[in-house]
Amino acid sequence: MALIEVENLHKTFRVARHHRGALGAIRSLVDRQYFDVHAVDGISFSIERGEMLGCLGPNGAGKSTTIKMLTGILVPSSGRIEVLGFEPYRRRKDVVRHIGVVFGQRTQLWWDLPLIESLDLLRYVYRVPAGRYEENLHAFRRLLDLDPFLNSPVRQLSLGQRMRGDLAAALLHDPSVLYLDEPTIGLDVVAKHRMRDFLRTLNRERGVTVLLTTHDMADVEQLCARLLIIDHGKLIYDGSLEAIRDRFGTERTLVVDLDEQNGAVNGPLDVPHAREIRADGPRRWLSFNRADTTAAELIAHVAARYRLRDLTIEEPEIEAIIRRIYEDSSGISSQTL
Amino acid sequence: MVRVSDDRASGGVTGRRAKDKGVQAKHPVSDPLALSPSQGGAAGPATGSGRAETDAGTFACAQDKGRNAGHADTGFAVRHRSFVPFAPASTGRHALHLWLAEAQVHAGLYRRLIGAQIRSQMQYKVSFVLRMLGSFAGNLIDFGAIAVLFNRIPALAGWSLPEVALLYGLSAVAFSIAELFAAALDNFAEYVESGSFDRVLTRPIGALFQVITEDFALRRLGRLSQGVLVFVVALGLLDVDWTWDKGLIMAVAIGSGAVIFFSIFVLGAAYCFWTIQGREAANIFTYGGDFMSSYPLDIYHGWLRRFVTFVLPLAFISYYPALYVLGRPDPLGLPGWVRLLSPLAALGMALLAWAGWTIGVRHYQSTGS
Ligand SMILES: Nc1ncnc2c1ncn2[C@@H]1O[C@H](COP(=O)(O)OP(=O)(O)OP(=O)(O)O)[C@@H](O)[C@H]1O
Ligand SMILES: [Mg+2]
Repeated sequence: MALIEVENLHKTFRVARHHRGALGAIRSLVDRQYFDVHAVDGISFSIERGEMLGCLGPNGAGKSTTIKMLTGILVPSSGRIEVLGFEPYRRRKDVVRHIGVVFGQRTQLWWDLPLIESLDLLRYVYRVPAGRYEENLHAFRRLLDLDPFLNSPVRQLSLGQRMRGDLAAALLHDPSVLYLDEPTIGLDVVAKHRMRDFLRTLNRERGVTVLLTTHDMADVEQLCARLLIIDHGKLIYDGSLEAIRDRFGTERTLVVDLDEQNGAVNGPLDVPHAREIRADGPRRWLSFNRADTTAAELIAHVAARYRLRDLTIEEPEIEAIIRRIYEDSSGISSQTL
Repeated sequence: MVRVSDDRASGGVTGRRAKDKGVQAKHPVSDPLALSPSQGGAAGPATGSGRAETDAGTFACAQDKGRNAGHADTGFAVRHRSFVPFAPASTGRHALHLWLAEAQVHAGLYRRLIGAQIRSQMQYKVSFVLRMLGSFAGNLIDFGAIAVLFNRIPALAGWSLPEVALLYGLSAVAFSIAELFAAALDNFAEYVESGSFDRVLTRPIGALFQVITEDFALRRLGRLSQGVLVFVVALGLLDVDWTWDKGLIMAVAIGSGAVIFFSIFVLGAAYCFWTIQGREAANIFTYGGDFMSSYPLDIYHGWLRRFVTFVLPLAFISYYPALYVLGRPDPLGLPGWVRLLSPLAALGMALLAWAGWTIGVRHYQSTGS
């Protein structure tokens, strides 16, 4: 059985409709109206032990809501979740003992206590044996470089420091699963890089199953073999990043620098199976489709007609691909990828 | 491939129920442990799946060893994780053992968590001392007002000043004990609104337990000491022939009263899962309840008296125990044994509070960001 199984999961929030204006507050009291927000609308997937998944989706897609249901914070409206064989909200304590959660937006630590004291308290909350606690603390102090702020109250920590503290706190009890909701939000380049290194190490050496949500495509590119894309509460893609690149990223770009010593080329370049999409002086961008021609062929054509100084091939940016998917997600959800 | 779920019909309530049965069947051994928030229930999936794994196999083993070796050092009476799934079905005695061990663990945890809170409160020593003095003085003035009242009239609905002081003292002591523990519930609406409650639900201990460990209102010791003072003075002034049963009734009344007040605090907090106005609603019953049970019920209207006797059992905090001790007649004309029912009233309120809380937690909606 898979480590995590989710079947036809729904979560609907009932939100009170607010009446506007001065009398609105009073009207809201007497005449309450609700409307439903279908935050998660029939999602199914399963996760095997040791996987590392990235979950993408535009704002309000339902990613955080899904994670909260997997953790047992929210009770699903319908559908089934099993984490380690338990339904999280029914057997919350049994499940959370084996999972770690980091919400990038909000700390899990005691605000007024020094980091080390928070960690120490969590040791008792999770009943981590002293020996194991020392080992883990030692490892995380090194891996996450906690020492400079170990004795500072959490409220004084910078965002990046706090995030490292939160990570350590979520991992002290050796969870088998780690959920990260936007773990790299607000981190600088170096900090992001270190965070990713850390997660990779964790997954490889400790076998921790990781599910993360993010808006940073690089997180997924560098960490996750498998990708979930959620939009409007529906799972619109479940598969590898390569597959999505092959399916949607068929357009590549050849960038050429023309040698214009013997006079400039006027107008767009004219080569078969490619079209110029941009020009900047002697530099031209030619878009071509994998299905129509190969890069080698195209280069041969261009070189035969024009004098070139330099050239490069640009792979489609994953950002652009994902953006396209978000933009017409309703279209592709009916197709088979 | 894309998986778009279309079997919505099967995801309904019936589908869920059927599934539950499946889960239970799969883990029959861990079910007795559902009673206690123990390690045991979780040991099933953890060790089972942990060992089956090849990649992290060595790690999982090391982890298990570490756990067993470390038990002595945790300071808790924790049972061996790996043994529990194979434990025989729990007998009554066994269950009691588990329960006691859990209680011990929670007491230790409470001390630790509260200790940390108090340490951080103590960072502001001066403010702490001032607030404590302020609360002591404020409450003393409060009682002074009653004393002044008695200067004008000799008795209140037939109750003398020392008798009213007994009611007042009982109620104040019970209330301030409850308040000491329930202080964190005061801000619970904000806690729910801000989504801080998420954090509580990600940890393997009781949610209510965690919330109340967020604050231990040492500053309210002022109120407690004032209550004790009034109570002791009342005992000194009263002309009561003290027998052991009367002493016991007083002690039980304080305990039961604290439980009743605490339960009302919890119900008020639970109400916050539905609406942010929970706090005001709770205040009516907590502070209002303290006020009501500080005076003889005789001064209130008949329906109100019946309400606090049969519906919200505030009368059992101070009034009925006081009737017993003072040997006064019951204006509602209930039989004598009714005066002994404080613990039962407390139990009822505690169960109600627990149910309300549990339903509330299920209702928790978190926040959108
Ligand atoms: N507690 C709540 N009450 C009401 N509506 C909610 C609540 N939480 C989430 N929602 C709504 O559910 C939808 C999904 O929200 P969710 O937070 O899961 O999105 P998300 O994918 O995490 O988005 P983001 O990338 O912006 O974090 C949104 O429309 C949001 O407004
Ligand atoms: Mg989110």
